[in-house]
Amino acid sequence: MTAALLFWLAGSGLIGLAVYGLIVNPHPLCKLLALNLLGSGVFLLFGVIARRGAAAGLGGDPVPQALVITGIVVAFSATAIAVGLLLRLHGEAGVASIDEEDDAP
Amino acid sequence: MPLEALPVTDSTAGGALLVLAIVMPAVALVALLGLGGRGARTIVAAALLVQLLVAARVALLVAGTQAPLVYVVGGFHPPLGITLRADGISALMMVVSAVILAAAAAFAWKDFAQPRGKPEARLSLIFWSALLAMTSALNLLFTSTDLFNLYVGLELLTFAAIPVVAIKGGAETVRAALRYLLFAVFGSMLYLLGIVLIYGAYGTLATAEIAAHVTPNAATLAAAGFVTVGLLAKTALFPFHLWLPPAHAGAPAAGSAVLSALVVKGSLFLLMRLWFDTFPTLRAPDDMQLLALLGALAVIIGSITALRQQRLKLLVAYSTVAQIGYMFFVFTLVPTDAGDVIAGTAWTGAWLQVVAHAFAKAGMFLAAGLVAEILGHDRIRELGGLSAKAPLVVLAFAISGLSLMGLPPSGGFSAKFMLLVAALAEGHWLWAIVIIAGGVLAGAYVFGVLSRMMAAPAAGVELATVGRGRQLIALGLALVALLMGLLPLSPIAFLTIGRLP
Amino acid sequence: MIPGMLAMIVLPLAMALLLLWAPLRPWIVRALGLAPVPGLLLLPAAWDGGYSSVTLQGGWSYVLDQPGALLLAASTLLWIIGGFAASRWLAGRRDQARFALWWLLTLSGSLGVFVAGDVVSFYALYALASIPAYGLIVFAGGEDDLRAGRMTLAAALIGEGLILAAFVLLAVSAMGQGLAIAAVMNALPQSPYATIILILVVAGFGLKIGLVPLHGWMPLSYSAGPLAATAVLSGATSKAGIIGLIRFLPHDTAMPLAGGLILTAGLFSALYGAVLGLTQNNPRSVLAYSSVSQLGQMAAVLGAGLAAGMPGADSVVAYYAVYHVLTKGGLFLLLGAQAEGRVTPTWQLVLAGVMALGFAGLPLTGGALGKLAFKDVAGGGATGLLFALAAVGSTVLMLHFLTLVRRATPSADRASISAAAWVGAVTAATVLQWSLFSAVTGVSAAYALKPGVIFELLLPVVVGALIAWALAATDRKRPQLPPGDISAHAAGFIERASPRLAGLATRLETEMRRWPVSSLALVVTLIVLVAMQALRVPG
Repeated sequence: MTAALLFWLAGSGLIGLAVYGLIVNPHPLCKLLALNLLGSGVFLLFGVIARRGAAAGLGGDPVPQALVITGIVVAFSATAIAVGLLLRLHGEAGVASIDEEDDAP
Repeated sequence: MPLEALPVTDSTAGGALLVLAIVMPAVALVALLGLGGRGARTIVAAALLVQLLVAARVALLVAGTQAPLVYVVGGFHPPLGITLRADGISALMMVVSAVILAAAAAFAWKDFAQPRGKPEARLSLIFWSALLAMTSALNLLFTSTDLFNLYVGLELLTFAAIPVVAIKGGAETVRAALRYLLFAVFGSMLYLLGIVLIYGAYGTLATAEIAAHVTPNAATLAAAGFVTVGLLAKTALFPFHLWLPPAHAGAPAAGSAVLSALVVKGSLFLLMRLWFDTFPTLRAPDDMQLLALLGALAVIIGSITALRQQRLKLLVAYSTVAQIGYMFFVFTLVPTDAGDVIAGTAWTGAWLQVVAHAFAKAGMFLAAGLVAEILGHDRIRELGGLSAKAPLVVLAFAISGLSLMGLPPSGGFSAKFMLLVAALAEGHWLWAIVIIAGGVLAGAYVFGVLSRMMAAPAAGVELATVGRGRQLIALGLALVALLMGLLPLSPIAFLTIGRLP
Repeated sequence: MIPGMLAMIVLPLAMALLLLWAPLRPWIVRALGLAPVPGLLLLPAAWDGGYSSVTLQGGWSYVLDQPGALLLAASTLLWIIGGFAASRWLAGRRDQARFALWWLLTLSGSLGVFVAGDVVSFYALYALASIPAYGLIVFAGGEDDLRAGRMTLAAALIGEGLILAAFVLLAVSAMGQGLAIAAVMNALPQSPYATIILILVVAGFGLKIGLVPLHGWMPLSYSAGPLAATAVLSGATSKAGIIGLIRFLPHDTAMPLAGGLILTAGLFSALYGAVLGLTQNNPRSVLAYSSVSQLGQMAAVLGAGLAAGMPGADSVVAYYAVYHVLTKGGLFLLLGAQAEGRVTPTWQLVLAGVMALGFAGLPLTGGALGKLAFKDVAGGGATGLLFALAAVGSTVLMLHFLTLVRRATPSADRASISAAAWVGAVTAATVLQWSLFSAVTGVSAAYALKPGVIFELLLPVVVGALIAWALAATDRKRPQLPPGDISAHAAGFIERASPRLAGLATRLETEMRRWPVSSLALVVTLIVLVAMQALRVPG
């Protein structure tokens, strides 16, 4: 088993775990954590891709690394906004839940 | 990963305008945050006016040269650098978004004012910065040719939309914003996953180079799947619309107009860009039936749900869910052999639907906002007396509704007619029936609202007065949708300028 | 001609727009009768049988030919008369502007549809003639009005959907040849979709003319709303369906099967309307059934013309329709003229009786001329016998109507339409019909005075009168049915069932909007999408 394959499997595992959590866990904070996990999995895959680029003789393909940095910044911003909203929701409603009180007509 | 050398495209004359369109709103945003709220409106007004001029200039250049505008950022060519490129549809969407953003800003002018002598309100600063950020993000989405760059644009657009949703405060809107954010980030993570796979397979993220080399191997198919569902989540195609109705109904009127008219179109634009220009050989119209099916469900279920709403803004929001559905027929209806009349008809029909819906829905949301302001509520049962009090608002609603119902003359009719022609010419009877049924249902919900508006006012109801100017803005947007109906019902050449064959 | 055509469409719309300006409202309401006046410019075309057309930028085109001009002439006059009656009825009402708005929109479509020369214009004007009528019907806002309005709107919207489908198929058949009606109809006979197009055309326009079993909305609709509005809706806008059949049934090709089926459906409607109308006790509903019967006869004649490939059928049907436009409108205005508690003068009852029996072909009336004109197309034999039976039925039905009118105790709401309105309308019907006879048929109107002809026309009327007398003499209680009979019953069933269906859809929607369901659907969509792609690509 090569290192690339190991990382590949680890990344995929993280993604699968995250998607599962995202679907079934009702609490928005858990969903947010799941999204971060999902992001980590994806970034790990970027790392794998970068390693494969290294086969061309470079120390590592720099493009995916640059992408990961940007991706982390974006994911961080999303997390920050989400936490801000969560706190506000908790402040306003007393509970932080994104399930609608059935307001269907 | 050998890449055979593609003909290197250099920047064309006027290509720098594209950079301006993206950077200028961002610079204005920085200025806004630096200078504080006092001058906010002036900065936004100036930025959006420049934006209008830039977009118009881009469209004229594209139409004049019959070729796309290209700008190679920093002179670095792909695969390392990023190329901005505006073809016919980019130029079209730049103009549409510049006009609607400017109209929305004008509409919100008084609501988010920063009067002298009063403490600075954070809300108005947030609104105006969000508007500028959206402008920049939309232009990036419309012109970038780099998949990761597009991802950044997509996220920027979502992050700009969230505060607009939450701006009114209250548990309901904050919850709506949170739902929106979480689902949208889920979508963009899936998109990002797709990008990883594409980069792994092709070693580039430039759309043109991918298009030249794309082969239907496992990685590419999986990537296309991830990217597509990621964008579906952001476009709120049924059944991924869970966030849309509360978010669009909860935002202030000008914000709802921009969200419904433009923001959902950003990810849709990218989806069309991907399937038609990035993986053109991958798209088998028959496999795309799945998207058409979801579109059909959106049309029918969205319309029926709209019909049963009791609040006007929710009705309009569900109408967006339905109208988005029509746009997804294009993936099935454009045949793969290019140059076909049917292809041109379906393609034009889909873009007319995008644009007509943008104007009609913006007009309708602004009208709905005025209704809420006049009555102090937006309960559909109690809309009586509006036609006597504010006939222009009712007219704006009616004209927008005409386009949504697809009655001629209106852009909505032209779009629907051309989609129908394409659907029936190719034997897609079911989709044709859905398109027609959607029109009948839209007629029912639009007319239901109109007849309530015409009714006599309930006794003892105090109606507020709203300014003539804002009524005219809503009416103006609706009229654009109406006047689009005067275009001849044939493929529009502008929409195919610069498209990859 | 051309400025007249455009002015006729634009003037009512412009007046509707001016309603926005409050100071002008009372003036516009007062001028409702003037809105159709540009249509008078086109009146001569009914006589000269010429053909003129104009194509505007963007392919919008308008044509004036004899069938269109005939329907237009009668409708213009009815809209003028109705307009003045409506203005008077509206005087001093608080919500008059709302009525005027729907009135003007309907007017524009109702007249414009007769000159529409391309598919898009036709569709637009047809919609304008059909959909705003809802506002007129529900004007008073009563429970019955609302139900009638809902039914009418549903019929209009569904009809729109059907004809849109037909039009798109026509456009597909004539791909690249433009959207002028003449061009798309040229392509119809070779079209692979010819059958389905014909079905859609007949169903779509059949809904408008109440072709049985699509007639349920008509008695409801004509029994609700102000009578001035019912007069123009029943007289003029129902002819949008007739012009639709004239324009969108093939002309030069004989289609025996399709024509025969339309003939049968039309005759069935003609007899059905006449018989079922007897079960009604509301004069408005009786008139609606009479419309079902009369419009059915028009459809039948068009069907006969299609079966035989006779293009001339269009003009004779339009000619026959002229009488129906003004007289049906006139009879509704008569109901509006009946003042509270006052007996209708005998001369008015006699005049109304003569004119109403014109629908059955009473000699010397305009209706008789109409029947003479279409005799050649309708043919003799069994078909001729059935047409004669329809005339018998019409006689019985109209006598039933007259007894109801004599007995009627009108509501206070009707009081303010002057008797001059209805007398004017039926007079115009008679004058138009007599003066147009030779222009349409090429035969001198003196033909209608021949004793043989008179006898032939009189026979069904006499038989009908005897039957009516016998029915009255036996003094049996007539069976009574709700207006719209089985068709309204079916519609009512759908009306009751649809909330349940809609509830199902909204429940599904609510379910799909739950986070776990929606996000799981996203994953499933991903898998299906990739699987479909992967299965297509071998390996």
